[in-house]
Amino acid sequence: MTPPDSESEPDLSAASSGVELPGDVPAARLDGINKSFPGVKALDDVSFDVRRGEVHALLGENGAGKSTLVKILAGLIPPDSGRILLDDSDVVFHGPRDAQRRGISHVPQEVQAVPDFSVGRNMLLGFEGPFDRKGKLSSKEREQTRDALDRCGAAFSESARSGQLSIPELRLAQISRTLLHPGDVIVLDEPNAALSENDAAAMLDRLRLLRDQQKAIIFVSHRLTEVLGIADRITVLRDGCAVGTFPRAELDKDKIVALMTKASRLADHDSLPPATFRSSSVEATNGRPLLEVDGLTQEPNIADVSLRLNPGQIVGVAGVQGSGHGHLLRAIAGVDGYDRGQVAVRGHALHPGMVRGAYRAGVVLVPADRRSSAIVSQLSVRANLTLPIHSRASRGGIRRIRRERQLAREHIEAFGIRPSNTEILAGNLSGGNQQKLALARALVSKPEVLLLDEPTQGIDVAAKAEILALIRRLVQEHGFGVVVASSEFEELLAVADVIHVMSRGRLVETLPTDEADYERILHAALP
Amino acid sequence: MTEESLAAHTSFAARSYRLSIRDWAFKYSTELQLLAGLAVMIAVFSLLEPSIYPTTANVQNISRQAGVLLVVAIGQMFAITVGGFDLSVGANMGFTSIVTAQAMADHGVAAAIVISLLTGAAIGLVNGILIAKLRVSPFVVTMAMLTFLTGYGGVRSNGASVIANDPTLKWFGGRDWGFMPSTIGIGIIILLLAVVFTGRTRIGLYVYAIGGSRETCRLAGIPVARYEAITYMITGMLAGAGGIMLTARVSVGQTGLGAGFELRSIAAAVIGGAVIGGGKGRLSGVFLGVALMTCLTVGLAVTGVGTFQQQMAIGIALVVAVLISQLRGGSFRQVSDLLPTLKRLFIGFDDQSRRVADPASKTDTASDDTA
Repeated sequence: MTPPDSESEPDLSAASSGVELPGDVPAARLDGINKSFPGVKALDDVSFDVRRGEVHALLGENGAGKSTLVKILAGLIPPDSGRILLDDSDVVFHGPRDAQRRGISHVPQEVQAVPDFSVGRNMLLGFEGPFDRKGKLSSKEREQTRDALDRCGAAFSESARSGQLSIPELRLAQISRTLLHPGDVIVLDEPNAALSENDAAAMLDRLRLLRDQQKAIIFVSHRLTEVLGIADRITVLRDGCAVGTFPRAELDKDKIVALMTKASRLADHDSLPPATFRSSSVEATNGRPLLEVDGLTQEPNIADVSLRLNPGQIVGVAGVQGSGHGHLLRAIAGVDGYDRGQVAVRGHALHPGMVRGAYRAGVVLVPADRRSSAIVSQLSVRANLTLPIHSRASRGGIRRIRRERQLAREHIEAFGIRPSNTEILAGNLSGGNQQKLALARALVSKPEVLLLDEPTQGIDVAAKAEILALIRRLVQEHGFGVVVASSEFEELLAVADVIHVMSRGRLVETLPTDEADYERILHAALP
Repeated sequence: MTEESLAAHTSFAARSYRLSIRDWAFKYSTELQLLAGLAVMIAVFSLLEPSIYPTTANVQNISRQAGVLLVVAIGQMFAITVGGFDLSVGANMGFTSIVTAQAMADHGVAAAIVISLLTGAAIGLVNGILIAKLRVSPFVVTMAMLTFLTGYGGVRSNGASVIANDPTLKWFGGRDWGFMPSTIGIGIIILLLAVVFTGRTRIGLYVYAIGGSRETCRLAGIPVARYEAITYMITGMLAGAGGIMLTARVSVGQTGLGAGFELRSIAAAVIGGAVIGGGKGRLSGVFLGVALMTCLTVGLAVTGVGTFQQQMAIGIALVVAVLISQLRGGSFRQVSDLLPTLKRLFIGFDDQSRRVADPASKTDTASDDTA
């Protein structure tokens, strides 16, 4: 299945024979990299290289190992084993600054700038001499930054205040900052995330400029069309392994989707419970859907989204990172406001951005960020379960400890939270058990509409299956409606009755689960 | 079901919510350390000054001083636990002492105490509304309140002390209840009330929950701002109580009376295990923190160490206590464990390093989801 990596062969021989072939020696090469995190093998014997004057794209789903690879290259985390070579000499990075000094420039996904500093001052952050002034750039500095901006084709001034720039402009400033670093390797992590189509296209033009200046560019992205538009070579990762490195000409969108999903998928499917339960009540209720979302728009994350949810139904919203499926749930739950559109529960419209209003109407969100928003880690399991106003565990403001213990024991049992100790601190539970606790707490709130944002993120496979089965059982028992937003499509295939695919803030496709399959979802989801 | 199997079932259920002795020792390790430190300190001072330190008179003296600080530090702990702190407690005490003295002259002792407690609560509520509803930082709000109250107290008293010499008032901080100084008596009563408050009331639970994760509470439908404001109100009211006690002790109302209590109360709470940033803090810890600080200052004074050196000692004790509790809690068990934390701080959020760095996941006995 893995095609011969035609281009890396001569490199290896060149390296072993010690012959210098300038231009053919990779600017950076990773060789046999392994990296494990507790419970996960993030990278398994991955090799990868990038040459000057090329854009090498790194593709893979969430959890395939892209970000781990990038972090290793940027010196953010050390590999467990394997070699890192720069211009064919071995290096060990001691932290991100060291990697930068040795010539690897990493542009992270988030736009980072001190808003009150000028563009030039932001670009020089970390390089300034001891007496540089905050406000004004010296003529040398101005020259340096102007040159870098020019080489990237930036139209704005180096003395503009960063806070006044748009997101794409800031991103460009960030990329041009890499030209001030030594070395030629530039690692771009989702450089077009949060950019509109036009801005993204303009960005690609700028990257071509850099490539022509003999920079070695590593390009990590979810957007296949873009990758196919700019990459010279493409490496596909899947479950921590490199599936292969291909010249651009050999690939098209269908082939890439196939490469990203093949083989390991089948194994994964076996471990998940089959989707035996299908709600029959999809059309059953007296005509009125439980939840109606109409034309919901939140610049720039959600664009004109409408969906319906009936009692006893599980609606899945599939999307890759940055497609806005998480934003959608947060907007419905009132955590964030929105610009246009309406959310109604049983026909009653909710006010935008009012969590308590939504909560009273029975809309309960279990957020993706478990540790900081779904549970209180410093409190015991019992206290976590008694938090919701609806827990009825206190009377007149006085807590009823016996009632609390009973409530906690019931839920620990019903949700299979282990260890089954009501007094253990929630922060000491494993990820899977924290998620069960978060679900249990949401259930204590007696929801009508349960919103689950990435409910199995970062949880091992067995716990995943358990949680998905739990969700299905709860819906069967209580008859509420559930919206699950996820970038792990197998889990939607396992639980949802209908799957909406979201891409760049829009619902691009709606598939009943029996008609959906993994490739079809991924194909629609990738912009 | 037979009688026996029912009993077996019950005992299993009962066990499921009790902490084992090891868990208990781990949970209360701050307190255990403080107790050990306290014992060593008392032993050393007793050996150095056997005729002064381990005497009934000195114990009374220590507890007389500790009582006021205890009341204020309990309030401070609530503010810290909910996620902020209150720098205005000292100024609050000074202001309420003026209020107590003046109200007493006009309306009598009982009314004066009620008015002063309400004044303290009102000050705290203003802090709370600014912090919780209007989202101004606790530092700015409470520092502004400190400055304002110092000035306003001066205005109300024309910059002079107000005589508050009343035998009834003396019962609330000035004289002893039998063998027990009234300040520590009041302190213990308030401590007991606070134990009930934190352990048995809904607001008490919310103080910890909001400090632990504001977002989680918001998503659980809790009116977060309201409870946060109420917490600061309680802090203010306890500072007011401290103000009354000080007034009773010195028989005079004075704006500067509470100066220094803001930092000492924070120090006591933090020594006792409260964490700036919120979510953690226990009354038992605060009690021992107050005991440690008071025993230390009195001990140093008794052995003839000067005031300045006493302040230096308190500063050192604060840092040492916090360092010890962090080392024990595993925040940086090894230097290498620090790295992911630093990376997170300087490079941004990184879920994987967070999982590795998280000491909780190491003590996790529950990682067998697969079971």
